[in-house]
Amino acid sequence: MPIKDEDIITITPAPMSTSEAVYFPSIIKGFGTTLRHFFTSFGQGHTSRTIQYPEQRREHYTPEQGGMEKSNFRGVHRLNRDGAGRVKCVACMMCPTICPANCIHIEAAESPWDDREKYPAKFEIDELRCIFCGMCEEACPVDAIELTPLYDVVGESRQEMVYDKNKLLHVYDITIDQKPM
Amino acid sequence: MIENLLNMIDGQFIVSALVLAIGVHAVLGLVAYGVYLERKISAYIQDRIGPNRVGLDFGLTFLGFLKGCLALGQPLADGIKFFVKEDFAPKNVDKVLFTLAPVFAVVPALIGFVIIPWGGYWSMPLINLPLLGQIGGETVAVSGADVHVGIIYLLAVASIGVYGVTLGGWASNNKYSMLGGLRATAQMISYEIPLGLSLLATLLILGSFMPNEIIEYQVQHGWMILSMPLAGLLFYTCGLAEANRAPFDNAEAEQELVGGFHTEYSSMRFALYFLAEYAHLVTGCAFFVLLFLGGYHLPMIGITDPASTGLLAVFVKIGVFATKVVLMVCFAMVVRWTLPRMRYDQVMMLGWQAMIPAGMLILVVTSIMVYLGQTTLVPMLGANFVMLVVLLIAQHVFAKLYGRSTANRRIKLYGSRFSPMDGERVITGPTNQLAREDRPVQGSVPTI
Repeated sequence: MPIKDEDIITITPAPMSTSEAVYFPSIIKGFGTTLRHFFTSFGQGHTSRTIQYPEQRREHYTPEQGGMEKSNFRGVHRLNRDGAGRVKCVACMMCPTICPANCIHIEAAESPWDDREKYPAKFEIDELRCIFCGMCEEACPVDAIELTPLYDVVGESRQEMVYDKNKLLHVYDITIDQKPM
Repeated sequence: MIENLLNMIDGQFIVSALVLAIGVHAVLGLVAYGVYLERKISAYIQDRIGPNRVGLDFGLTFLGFLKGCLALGQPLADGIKFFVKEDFAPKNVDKVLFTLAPVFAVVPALIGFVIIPWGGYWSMPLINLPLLGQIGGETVAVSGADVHVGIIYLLAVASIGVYGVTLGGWASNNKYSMLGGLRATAQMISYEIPLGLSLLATLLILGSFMPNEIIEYQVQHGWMILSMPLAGLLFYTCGLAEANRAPFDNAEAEQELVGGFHTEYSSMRFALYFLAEYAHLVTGCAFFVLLFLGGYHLPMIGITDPASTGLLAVFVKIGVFATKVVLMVCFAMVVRWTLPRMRYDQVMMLGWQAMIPAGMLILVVTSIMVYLGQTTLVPMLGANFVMLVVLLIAQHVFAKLYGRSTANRRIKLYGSRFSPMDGERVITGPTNQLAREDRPVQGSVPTI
């Protein structure tokens, strides 16, 4: 859709006042602003907005204080377990289909259990390709895949950052306290 | 032969050599910690904290008390990083110039310090040295060179610095670098003029090119910033532009030129550019302190007068001078984090349409005052007030004549799509209707 010409608003900037046109009064006003910030935030004063990351973390604060809301934070994925401790996924291929980054690879196999037909023999998520949009979580019909509040994941190689089924189930084990299913 | 050489070595020679040897390293240290200072100041201005991790403990337990410690080890870590990074030169660059350009940038920035009179004069006691015999017993200048052409030398050297920038831009074989280098040249040419004009006006009153005499004049008649505030303002602003400092750092405008002249530089070559930039800033500030802020002199404190030439006085003077320079450097940093970078045409317009006429006015009025013999504080303040009024009236008259400029201050390029010639039909978008899916360029005149 091209924008119609009558929708285009041409803005003409207002002419400068004398104090703006000779620059210096406005510049001195600007110094006032910067120096106020300098002195009020000096040495982590009251306007300082820094969180000292490794010691202080966003989890320690409420969203109002600039912290993070754990219940809907989109961090690294996990594969949920059902009551019997088995992987909940039914290998329906909804998440690799919806994934805009093509980072989920599932190999389905016949389920060894009676309550479903398929289960994922292989479930890999490339955390480096993932854009953490949360579409997989929304697409999942059985709430098997979820995003967790974990965000500081590192690896020494690219291969290490491709999370397989065991790793994703492990993420479930360590985050179930922080984010109940 | 050796006799002659030994005879050349007198007290002044030894003091000069000492000052140079210590001065260069002091300046290099100031540059390294200037970067740290800049990061810290910018952080506080932007409500952040800045570097606060790299202490000076080097991972040793018995130095643990230095851990953290305001990140005073950060410049050291940065330096080591620069040394161990890959020194990459892209394909098709002019290898010789590419290597030489940072040198051209650094050397003028560093040798400008030679004439700065850090400590005034020192009445050197007689010292017996082996081989040289008796030395001293005279008054020596505590500076690299106590020469009569001091100011001219500093001006000449400071303006060579732009060669490094331009050559680097040329040698990089990159359009952005080239544009950055060209901008630096044009800016240097434009701002040398008002710098020279304001300097000339000041020197008319000072009556000497010799740094120590300039300070002595200011001790007797009050600092020049008091009697010539407008010239001081002009000089400082042009000094910022000369040092390629914000708000005039168009040569490296990151948003437009992805780093400008040092786009292709990495590792130690880039570090040299960085060093040159800050050394330029320190030189400019020392120049300003020397000319306008009374150098090593503090009013009411007798030990900083040129008359006191004891060893203690020398050290106090060096301290005072260095403190003033650091304060001016801090001020330049506050300027950088207060003012946005000016657009390039605005920089040129400010230079040619505002700074140069103002500089000429200052020069003319000062010449008249010198001719009338009224160069003391009160008449000069009156003259400055008159100049200010004249400039404001001129600004008002020009605004009436040519219309007030908008905040944008766009220069009309006749024939461009923003300022078409009379009767010209402007077609900005593609002429094919099917290709006009995208948003038309703002300011276009719908035709078709």
